[in-house]
Amino acid sequence: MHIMEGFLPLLWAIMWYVVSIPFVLYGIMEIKKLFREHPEQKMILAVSGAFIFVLSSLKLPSVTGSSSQPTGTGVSSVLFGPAITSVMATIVLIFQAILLAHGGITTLGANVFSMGIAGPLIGWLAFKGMRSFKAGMIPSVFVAAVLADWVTYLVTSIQLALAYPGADIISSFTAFATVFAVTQVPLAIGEGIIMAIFFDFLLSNRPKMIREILKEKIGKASSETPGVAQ
Amino acid sequence: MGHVTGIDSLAYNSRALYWPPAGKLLLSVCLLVGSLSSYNLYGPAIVLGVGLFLFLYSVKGNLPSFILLLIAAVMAFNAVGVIIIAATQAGSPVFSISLPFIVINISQEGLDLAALVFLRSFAGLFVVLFFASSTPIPHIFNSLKKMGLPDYIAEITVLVYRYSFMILEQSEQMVNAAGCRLGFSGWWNYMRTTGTLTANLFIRSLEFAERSQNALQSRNFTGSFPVFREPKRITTVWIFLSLAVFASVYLIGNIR
Repeated sequence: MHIMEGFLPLLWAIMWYVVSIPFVLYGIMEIKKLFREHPEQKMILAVSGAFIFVLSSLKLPSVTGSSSQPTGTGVSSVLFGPAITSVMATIVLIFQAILLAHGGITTLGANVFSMGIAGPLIGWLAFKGMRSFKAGMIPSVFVAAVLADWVTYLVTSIQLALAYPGADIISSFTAFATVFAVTQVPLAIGEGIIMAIFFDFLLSNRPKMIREILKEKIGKASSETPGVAQ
Repeated sequence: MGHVTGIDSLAYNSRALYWPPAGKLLLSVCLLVGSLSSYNLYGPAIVLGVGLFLFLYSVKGNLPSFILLLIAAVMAFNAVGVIIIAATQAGSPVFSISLPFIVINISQEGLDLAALVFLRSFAGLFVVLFFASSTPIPHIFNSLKKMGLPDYIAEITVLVYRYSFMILEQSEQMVNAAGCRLGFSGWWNYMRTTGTLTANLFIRSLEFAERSQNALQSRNFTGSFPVFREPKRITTVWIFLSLAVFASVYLIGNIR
């Protein structure tokens, strides 16, 4: 879900850049650390980035100056954490703005914040929280993917309501959020199901790879029996 | 997804391909910021004219059908968006729309703001299309690397770019194959097929990426992708031109 070029007033466009830049810089430092410690993960990260691009380019029509797509960032934040996902999402959003005319250059900061920072962060927190309560891997991935989507859409609605508060900001937010909800609520559940099947398949077919990535981020994942999806 | 490869090939065949990428980026940003700084319709209208001219120059006047579809889709989304902006603005209503559960009042202030946002968005689309249709992704990141972007970020970006095309190509084949086997008949089948298809796609892409990584390393790959003809560096002419364009749009866009 992206805000299109020209939709944000200049002040808000700058503000969202300022808010997003520290997160992306932190993510860049995390990537440097990851490449230094695990250079073999460079390729997986690049494929994941390309994967987010392809997934999030599957455009579904929405309204309100935006388009709806699966964000693909929920699974990336589960695999690599929210900091690295923020950098990957930034790269993907630049590609989308340039290659697909989704989003834009002046709205990049706002789109990075909603799709690359807020959504993945909440998705990752939900995943960690569920895993710490010994929830199964697949339900945790489902919830992470759904929440990452919904938070992205809620933050986009807030961004548009802040930019165009109209008579009052709450009714403006309600108007944007209601229209987004028509496509985004079912889309997020659909993406959650697809990502759960995706993760289940990977755990069955590439358990070693998933274990190697996840044990760096989530201690509990390393104790799982490889190849068995819970 | 054909328009992804379409825009990429437009960029490699553009008349403006060898203009300095940083110069094109600066000019585009100045046009976009000038449009956003405008409080009347003249500013965005000028940006629309300049953006359209630059875009048509870049694509040698040929407008492929996928570009027209892209423009139509983006503007359709934007049109509905500006209707919501018009409907939520305060002011005395000019006219009302009665729906089953709600009456929407449209004010003059709302209409003015909606027209401004729509024109800014329309103008911005052509400026972005000019930049996109004249600047391949490797040129952008090559320039950004020269401006201080860390090597490993430039490398990962180029890898993401290359793998994106690879995944797109593979996904097309796999979606066709799954469709031929009735994999998309019914909601649950659709979800299951898409889930396993994306997982398979990820695994196949990883295998392909592994092979290409081996191939790169056997050719002394050190993390940088050289481009055949280095794009030109930005010059002071580009900086002055961009600032002059911004100043002109800003001044005209703020005439009361």
